[in-house]
Amino acid sequence: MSCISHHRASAIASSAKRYPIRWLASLAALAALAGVLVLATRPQATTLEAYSPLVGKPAPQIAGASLTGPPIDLAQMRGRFVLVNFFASWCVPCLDEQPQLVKLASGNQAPGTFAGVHDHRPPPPPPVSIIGVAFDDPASAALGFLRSTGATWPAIADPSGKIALHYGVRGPPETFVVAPDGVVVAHIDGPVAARTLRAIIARAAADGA
Amino acid sequence: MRWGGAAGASKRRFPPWLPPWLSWALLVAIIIAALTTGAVTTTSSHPTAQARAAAIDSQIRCPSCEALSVAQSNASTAVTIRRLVLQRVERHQTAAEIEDYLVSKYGTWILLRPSTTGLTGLVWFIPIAALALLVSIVIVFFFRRSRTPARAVLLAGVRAPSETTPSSLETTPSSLETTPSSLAPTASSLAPTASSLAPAPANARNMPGLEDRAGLEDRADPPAQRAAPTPRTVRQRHKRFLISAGVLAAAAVTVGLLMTTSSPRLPGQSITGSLSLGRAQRASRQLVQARTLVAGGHAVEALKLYTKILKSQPHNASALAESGWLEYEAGSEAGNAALMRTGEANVEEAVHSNPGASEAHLLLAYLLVNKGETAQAAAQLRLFLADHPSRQLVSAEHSTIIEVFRAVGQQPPAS
Repeated sequence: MSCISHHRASAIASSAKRYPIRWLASLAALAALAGVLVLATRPQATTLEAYSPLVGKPAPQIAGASLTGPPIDLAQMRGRFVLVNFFASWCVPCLDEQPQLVKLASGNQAPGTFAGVHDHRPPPPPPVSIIGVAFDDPASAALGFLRSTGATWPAIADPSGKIALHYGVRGPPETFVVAPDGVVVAHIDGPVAARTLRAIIARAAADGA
Repeated sequence: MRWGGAAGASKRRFPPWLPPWLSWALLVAIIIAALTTGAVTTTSSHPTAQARAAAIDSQIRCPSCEALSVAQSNASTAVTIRRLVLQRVERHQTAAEIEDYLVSKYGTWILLRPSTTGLTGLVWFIPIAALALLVSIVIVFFFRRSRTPARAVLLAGVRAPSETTPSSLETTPSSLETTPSSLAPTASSLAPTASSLAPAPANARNMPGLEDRAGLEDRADPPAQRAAPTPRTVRQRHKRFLISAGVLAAAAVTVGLLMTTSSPRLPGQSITGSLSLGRAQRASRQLVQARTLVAGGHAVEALKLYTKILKSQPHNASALAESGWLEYEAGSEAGNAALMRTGEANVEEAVHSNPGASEAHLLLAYLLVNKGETAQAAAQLRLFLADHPSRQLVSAEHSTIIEVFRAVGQQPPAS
């Protein structure tokens, strides 16, 4: 048995010596095939969900005076899902996104909080809050933008750009989903639909976040 | 042209009294000098915090503009990162610590220099491996040539058939005996056939053609039967050894320099330092450095740099406008009307010297807004927008532009 395998091995070795180009080409083709298989069998990315090193880590702190009312403190919002939405009045995709966020927040129990979808399916969806962060936008312009779109959730100005930097934001709109335990569970790059957000939150809640 | 051609090289050499190895030695010396000069001019033993911060900035990608480093961009995210870098440098954090922090927020994407680990590490490994392979090929090429003098002997035999050829042909099999003597040199091509039919005779070693072919099959000839190296062959071996050593040394220096100069450089600085920067290139590099200084809040140093640029290029619109704006701001803060006027004059001169400089129009517009001349500011903003400025710049100034046009009851031009 071992003699046969040894014979085969030596036959392969001599073939490789005789036709090195063919062997190299075959190896390259195999490597390319393996690469295609790896790429093709990766799990499909959820719409707009983008990589962020923050996912799975505690959300950076957001605290300060709100543009719309009482001061904001992300640390005080543990126990519910929080959407940290970066927006700007000059950002056209943000204009498209705002109605979706308003739709999501339409079941608000308190300003900035809503109970989610009442679709008669147990268990009830987890409570969600929204915090807006004005990205590279003067407070007055940001406030005007929020009012014009019917947003009622608290928002904070970020004149120094520090909050955006701590969240690794490249350009609005970007949204981070923060779980009840204060850990970032998703990052969405670009305008997001209410339905997508619901799906992400439901998935995170099911995962026990 | 054959490398190291034995016969023709000395005839072609000009002037003839120069030693044959001089051109190679010069080539190696020039390569080493060019690389080391750049490395020496770029290193500084005690860089300032601003210089260190600028060097780090040049290695970090602008989050909103991607193709630029934060040192090259005036986008708000780039300005924020520049501030953060300078603050951390002043707190004596290392470049690696600052980069790690930014990577923890943005991912490795934020670094312009690819990572040396994981799959990205191939980007670094492949060029070094290719260089090593190239050097190995060159060395093997030279040494194989120097170790196979038989080929040179064969070629010499082809050019001038030696007297031994006819006699040696007598030892070949009978089928070859009919070969005309005029075809004697081509007998070597038939030799493998002959040798495969019957063992090569012992005195076939004396035939130049047969010796060469037989040498391919049996390299382990007794030393006594090999052609004794002539002084010329020895000299050529030495020359080739020296050339190989030179190439190897140059490759080692290149790799060494790549390792040492892979540390962050100042914005706009090339790997070979400032050997061939023209006036315009130097000015544009200094502009980037001055903007970095402004973003870091170092207006005085920035003004010095702008003055330097204006000495070499008195009508540089960007330097005039930006330095004018700095002077105006400084004058405004210190209540120095003369300085404010100087700054204003510089910004106006920038607009006049280059009407296509969009940034100068923008700065003049701001200046006019401060003076309460909103209508003229709106006119300057129209000129600014007509110059097709970058989208980033327009986005950053969007709210002010809208406010100015609203104040004068006009609609901003559609862009």
